Amino acid sequence: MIIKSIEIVNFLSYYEKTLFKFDEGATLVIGQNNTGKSKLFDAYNWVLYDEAYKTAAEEWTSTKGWRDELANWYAKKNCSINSKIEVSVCLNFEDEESNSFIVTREYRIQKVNETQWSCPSHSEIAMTKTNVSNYNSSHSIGDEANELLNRFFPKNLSRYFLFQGEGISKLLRLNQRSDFTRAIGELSGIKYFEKARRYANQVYERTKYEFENKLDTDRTIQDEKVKLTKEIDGWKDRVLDFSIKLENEYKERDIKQLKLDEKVEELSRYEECAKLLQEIKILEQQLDDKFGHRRKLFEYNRPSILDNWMYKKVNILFDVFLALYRKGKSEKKIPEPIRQDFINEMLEDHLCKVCGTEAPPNSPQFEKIASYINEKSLDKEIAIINTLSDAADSMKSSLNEVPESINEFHGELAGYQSEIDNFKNKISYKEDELRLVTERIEEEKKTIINRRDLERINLTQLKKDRDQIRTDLEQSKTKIDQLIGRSEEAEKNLKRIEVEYQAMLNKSANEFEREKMKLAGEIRDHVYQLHDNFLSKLINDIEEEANTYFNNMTKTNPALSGKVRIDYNNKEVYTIDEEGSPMTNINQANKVSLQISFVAAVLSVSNKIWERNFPFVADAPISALGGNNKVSAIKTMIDIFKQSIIILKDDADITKQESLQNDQVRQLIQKNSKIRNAYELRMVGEKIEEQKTRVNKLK
Amino acid sequence: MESTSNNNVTKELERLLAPLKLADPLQYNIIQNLIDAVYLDPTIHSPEALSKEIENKLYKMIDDHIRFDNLNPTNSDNKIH
Repeated sequence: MIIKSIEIVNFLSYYEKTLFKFDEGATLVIGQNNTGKSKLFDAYNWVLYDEAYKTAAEEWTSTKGWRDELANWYAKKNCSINSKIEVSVCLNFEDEESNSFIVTREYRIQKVNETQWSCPSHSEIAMTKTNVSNYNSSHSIGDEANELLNRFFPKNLSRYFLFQGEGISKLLRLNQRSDFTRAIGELSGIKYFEKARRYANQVYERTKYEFENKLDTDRTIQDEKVKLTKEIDGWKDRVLDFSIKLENEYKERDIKQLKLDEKVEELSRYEECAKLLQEIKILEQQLDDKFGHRRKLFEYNRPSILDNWMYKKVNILFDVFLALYRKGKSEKKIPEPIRQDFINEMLEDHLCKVCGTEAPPNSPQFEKIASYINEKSLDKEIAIINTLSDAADSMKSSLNEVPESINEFHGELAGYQSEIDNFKNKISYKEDELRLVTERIEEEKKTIINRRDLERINLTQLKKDRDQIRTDLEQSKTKIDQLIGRSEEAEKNLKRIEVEYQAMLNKSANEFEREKMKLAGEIRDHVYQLHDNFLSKLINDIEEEANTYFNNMTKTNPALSGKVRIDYNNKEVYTIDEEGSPMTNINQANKVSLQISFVAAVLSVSNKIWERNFPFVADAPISALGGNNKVSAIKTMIDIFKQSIIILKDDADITKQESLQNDQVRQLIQKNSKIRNAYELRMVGEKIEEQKTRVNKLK
Repeated sequence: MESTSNNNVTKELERLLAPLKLADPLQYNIIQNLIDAVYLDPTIHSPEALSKEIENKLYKMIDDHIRFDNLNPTNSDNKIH
């Protein structure tokens, strides 16, 4: 099967029409918190099974329970009184023969007034099949459509192909009412054999009753029959009693295990926070030190730098002055100094040789030229110019050293700045990591957590709580072991009495009833055997597949090891070491690998039995992972399933371009050719009644 | 997608029942008939419920087997009238 598209209209956070298209291969849908990721997952569940997950109530709720809450807020706000809103989800898929199916679920509500809505009690479903060879279409609605749909998407398997990451721990529980048992019931017809077993047992009990209630003519045999029957009934009651107690204890153990998992998870997140906070503190201290060093450097160099700066300005002035002076000289704009011999020559010749005016003795011109003799002397001029020139040269040479010292200072300053930037980057990186972990805690706790809250967390108390739960769990396991032991003992006794009973049977004169009971017993035993053989083969197949996936996922990482064990008798899935002992304290990446391998194996075996491929739609399948482990897990899911639609939390900071560029998931989307489509979800609208999911196509 | 039409399940069933088919064809027939009846069991989706009709059918198959095929009861109570 391949899901081709899903069209969502006015459903929860989706306003008006939103279309997602898919192909064979993988599709990734990413989005920050509260952008409509889980609502997309809900859309699948609603169109197929008429249910969506109510976070506040923490349960899957049908349309009847949702009523007008199922409709988008913004659509409701814009709807006028007496008008209707149509909520619908339309899923288009193809079967293995490429026949096309369109399934549509619709729900219409009418606005009575600003606060009241008229809501029908149920949604409507319609399904259309279009035959690939002749394009003939057939339609079905209501129960008929649901029944047809269930053939493609069996409800009992839904928790596997519509996979919710947060509920993964639950999938690993194998007790009688678990999703796994329901899935196993759906797989390979186990539920039919279970039912056959009950009929065989019922008929056996009936024939036994007939035999036991027909008096034997031989008094001794009759007494023995009554005695043994009572004993058998007694032991059967005990076996049944142990079996009920065991089932209850399994449930208790599962609850405790779940609690322990949650506590370990919580503790590991807080420990991670504590570690990151510690690292951030060290980095902040180092950053402060660097700021201190830079300040000292500046203070130390400030006076000389200031002087240098002033000299630098003076130097520029000198340069300007000298340049102007030389330019003026070269352009003859500055007159040459008047020499004494030149003045005397002008006086003797009675002529001003500068302007060409006659200067007869005693004339004003003659007196003017004569006046220069004492005021302007060649020696004075030369001395002044030389002094000026020498001063300028000396100043220039000392100023030449200024840039060097400034450069040296700038170099040191740049060094400190680079170290400061480096520390700031490291702090920012660590803060991003801390943000991701904190967001997960916030999601779980449904509350806002700031840094001060994290610093106040008492890890010691959390560890004590964890250890207490672990002790409780161990006690529960011990109790189970005891119950199993006592149950086995009771079964042994039962068998012993049954052997005696069999011996007595042959002595009975009521041959007909006896033979009928014997045959009913044999039939019952065969049917029981049939059931057990089917189940055991199925479990073996799943275990084998799970180990293939697990090996693929863990082979590149030596820290991850072990084998998957599906312990159906003890209702557990776990990893074992080389010696076959259950592994404790496995790390988060290993645990996620185990979970994904198991889920993939259940689906893979389903695919083999039904000779078709279930699409894998996963909401936050790897929410506990980050970095390389996350990317590696995504790649594995992409490789395992013929079609996977993986909805993931976007860990990038979408306000920073750099963060978007460095985001590993976005890089994977661009590089991995198996990812055929990718979408990014964002929430627009400030107020809750205006919020709607906006979809950007990334690939 | 129903189990009744699943070849893999049917093949596995045949494989598991093959020894019985050889050893005791009558018992094999009873079990096969029971499984066929269960495939059409209207109570299949309610694990706790049983169909009286199927139970009686199985009982009758066993009863008939003893009454007609296996024994020749001398006890007058068991004679077919």
